This record gives sequence, C-alpha cells and structure tokens, in this order.
Amino acid sequence: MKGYIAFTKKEFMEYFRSYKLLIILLVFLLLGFMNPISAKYLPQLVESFLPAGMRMDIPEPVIADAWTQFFKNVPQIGLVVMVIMSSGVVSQELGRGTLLPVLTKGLKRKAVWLSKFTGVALLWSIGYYLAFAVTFFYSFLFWDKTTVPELGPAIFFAWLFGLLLLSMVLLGSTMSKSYAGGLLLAGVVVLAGMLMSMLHGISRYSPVRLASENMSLIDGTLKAKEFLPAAAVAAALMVAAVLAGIVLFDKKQL
Amino acid sequence: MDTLVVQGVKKRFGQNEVLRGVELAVPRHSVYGLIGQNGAGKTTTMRIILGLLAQDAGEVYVCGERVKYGETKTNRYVGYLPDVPEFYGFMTPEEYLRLCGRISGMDLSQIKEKSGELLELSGLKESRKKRIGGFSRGMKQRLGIAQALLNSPRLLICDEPTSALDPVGRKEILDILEQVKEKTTVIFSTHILSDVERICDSVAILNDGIIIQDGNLEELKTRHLIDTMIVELRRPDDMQGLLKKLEGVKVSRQNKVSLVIHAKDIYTVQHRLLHMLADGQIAVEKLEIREPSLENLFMEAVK
Repeated sequence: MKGYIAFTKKEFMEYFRSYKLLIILLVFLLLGFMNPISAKYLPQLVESFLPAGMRMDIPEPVIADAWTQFFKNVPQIGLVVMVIMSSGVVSQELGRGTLLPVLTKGLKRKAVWLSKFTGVALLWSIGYYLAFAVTFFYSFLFWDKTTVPELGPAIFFAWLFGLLLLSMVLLGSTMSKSYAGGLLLAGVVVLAGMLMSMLHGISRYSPVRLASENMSLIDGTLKAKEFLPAAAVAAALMVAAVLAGIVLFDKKQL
Repeated sequence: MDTLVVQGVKKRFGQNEVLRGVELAVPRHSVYGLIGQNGAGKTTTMRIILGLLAQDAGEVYVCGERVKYGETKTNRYVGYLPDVPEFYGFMTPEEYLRLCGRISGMDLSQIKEKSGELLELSGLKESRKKRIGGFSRGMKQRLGIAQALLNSPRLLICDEPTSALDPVGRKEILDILEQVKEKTTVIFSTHILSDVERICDSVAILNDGIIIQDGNLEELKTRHLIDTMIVELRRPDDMQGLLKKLEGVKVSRQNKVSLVIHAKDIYTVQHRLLHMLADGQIAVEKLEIREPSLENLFMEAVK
C-alpha cells in the first residue's frame, strides 16, 4: 500500500512536470467553454454571415443545445486526447527500463499497474468533470432554466465509457512494446462496440451507446434504465481489462 | 554462509541458449567479479538473481532464501544497479531517493538521513536539487549506486557499472564500491579486467553460458599453469646461436634481442637455458618467468 501511494504520487508529479496535467486541463476547459458559447451564439453568427435580404429560420437556442455540444465534444475530442496521452504509460516505462530500480526495491508489480490506472482514471475524471462544471456554469448564466432531465445519468455514462476505454489503452500498452498497442486495443473496442450497436439483438449491450446516445436521455426518448445493460457490460469489461493488465504485467520478463 | 548461491541455472531465449548451468557461490563480504565477454550471459544471470527473469532450470538463493520469479522477497536483501540505469528525468535525486525509500518501507526520517549520507558518498550533494534529466552518464551511474545502497542491502549487484564511463567516471565508481565493501557483499559484472584486479577478491569467468573458472583471484592465478618465459639478450649476435640450441622448444621471437619461450615444464627449460647461456657466454639483460595476468587467464579460459 505504501508503495502504491508513493508510486501514484510519482505519477502525478510526472503529469505535473511533463505538462500533461496542464494540457488536459486546458483542453477540457476549452471544451467546457465552447459548448454553451457555441450553442448560444452560433445562430447569431450564422445570421450575420447570411447575405443581406436572405432570411433563415433558426430556432432560438435552448439549454439542451449546450448539452448536445457537450456530448458531441467532450467524450470524443476530449477522450481522444486522453487516450493518446495515456497510450504509452506502461510500454514507455517498460521500454526505458525505469521500472528496474523501483521493482527491485520491492515495489509490487500490482501496485505499479494500479498506480498507472489510478493516474489516468483520475486525470480523465478531473478533465471530464471540469468540462462539465464549466458547461453547467455557463448554461446557468445563459439560460434561466438550468437543468435538463436525466443529466446526471447521461454524464455518468459517458464518463464510464471513458474509463473503459482507458483501461483498454493500459491493457494494450502492457501487451505491446510501443504506443500502438494501447491505441490499437482501444480502437478495437470502439469498433466492436459500433458493430454491436448496429445489430438489433445486442445493440443495447454495446458500451459505445454510453457515449453516443446521451442526448436521447436528455430529450426523453430513452430512459436511464435502458442504458443499464450497456453500463454493466462496460463495467465488466473494465474490471476484466484491469485484472488482465495486472496478470500480464506480473508475468512480464524484464 | 555464502550470501549468494546460484545452482545449475539454465535459461534460453527462443533458440538461443544463454545460460547452460551457471554455478556461483559468493562468500560474505567479498567483492566478486563476474567476468565475461559481451553476450556471455552476465546480465541474464543477474536478472535471474533479482527475480526479473524466470530461469528454465536451477535455483538461486540469496542469504539462504530461495529467489522466486516475479515478486521475490529476497530483493529486500539486495541492491541493484542496472547496466544503464534509467531514472525519472523529471525528478531530482532527493525526490527519487525518497520514492525508493518509501517503496522499500523506510520512514521519512530514515530516508532523510540515509539519502543525505548516500548523496554525499556518491558526490551528488551539489546536484541533489537538480532534475535527473540533465545528468551525465557518470552522474546517473552514481545515483544508481546511491539508490541501490538506500536500503542497506547485504548484497549489492552491479551490472557493468563502469563499462560506459570515461576514466574519471570509472575511478569514481570503483572508489565508491571499494568504500562500501566493508558493509556489504558486492557482485559486479564487467569486461574491464583492470577494474577487477583493482577491487575484486574473487572472480568467476562466464563464457558461453557457463562458469569456466572461479575462486579467489590470487589462488586462481597461482593455480594457473605458468608456462611462459621471456629472455632478453644483451647482444643481437647471440640470438642465432641460441635459437639453434633451443631447437625442439616452442620459441617465438619478438625482436632482435628478445624471445618468448613456452613450455609445459618451464622450470626444466629454464634450467637448460641457464646452462646454454653459461656455456655460450651469452650476456643476458633479462630473464623472466611471466606471472599469469588476469588477462592471460581470461584469454585462455575463453579460448
């Protein structure tokens, strides 16, 4: 446990000093701002660009538009940035040999892997909920009505999907010696999820739904309950990825 | 009791059989040199001792406890310096030693005291607050020793600690190793024989995955067959005559006045030679039975 805490601290020191933390904060802050602002001002912007005399009926922006933007941007651009940044966290340490001294000092391999996962999971959570807070705050300023139905579950599901993807990135990074491993495995999971979504019989189990159909929750087409199978699959896959990562890492010859 | 015992360790990587039954016994408080050419299996042997690699056969014991692949408890007795140690470049030596100390379960006051002492020993006191990323190889190597000694190990394993360094860096490392040998048993691998002669008291020669010679360095030298004699004459003119008389003995001429004689029973030949020299009234500048150097020993062993 001491080793785990010490190593997790080291992870965060690394995020801080290598500017990873700064980049993530900036990206998610920007994404957070963009959502309500683009929802609010895009219609005006479009109007001002229209040639004189031409009229277009643009509906008055509503708060749900800000959240549409949020679910379009954060779980996609934000998550992609996150995935790319974490793609080398395990393979890089293995490749550079920085783990040799600490492992021979008695640090448990389990602790190393869990620290790595804790690191990326926390980084993702900080970024994600920062973007959420900013969007929420500006929506509050722009529109009187602050909440939309089922916002909580919609936010939670996309976050869960992010965690699943990051666990896969780490597993891939453990399996291969290069950055590609993590990216590849994450790609495979997304692709498989998309395929699942297309097949009617099993589409409700596809984890990809968690990050792609959030607006259906907010506009009331779907109920949170209907996302539960997909959430369960995502959680199970994530646990499996973590366990597999630990077991594989334990077996690694250094 | 021996601090380290390696019994019949075998290891192959794919088709390549790297270790073919390595046997080692490192007595307490010795500085043990593991000599071998590049690719002889030195690093592999060390990584198996540390439980970083799984052996295919054989056993390793550190301080009487069996080494298990993966997380081995025996590592609490061991300090390890990898051949090219890599640290987290964004940390300072002080921070790095704190991390290592926490990992090995030391408390903060212990860490502070010990790391201060080790930074002093390794000559990194001045740079203790600088980022490791900007360190030279020699500095990293010294930090590596400090790191390895942090938990006061009973066995210090250094993998080619001097190979990549310039003469000054090498001397610094050897000086540090010499200082710590009072407190701990040191095993280090190298192919720089002068380093071995300087600080080791026992050696093992690893060749092609097997230990072909081992033991106390002095004993090893005396055990070694003495078979070489160097003769240096005063006058070049005497050379021809002497060579003729020495027919039947293996002689190689070096230059106009000196020759090297090889024979199994070198002292008998010396005796005969002395007679010849006296009879022929040949003036001699030098007559020397060559002591086996570690280099000869090594060259012969790996032949």
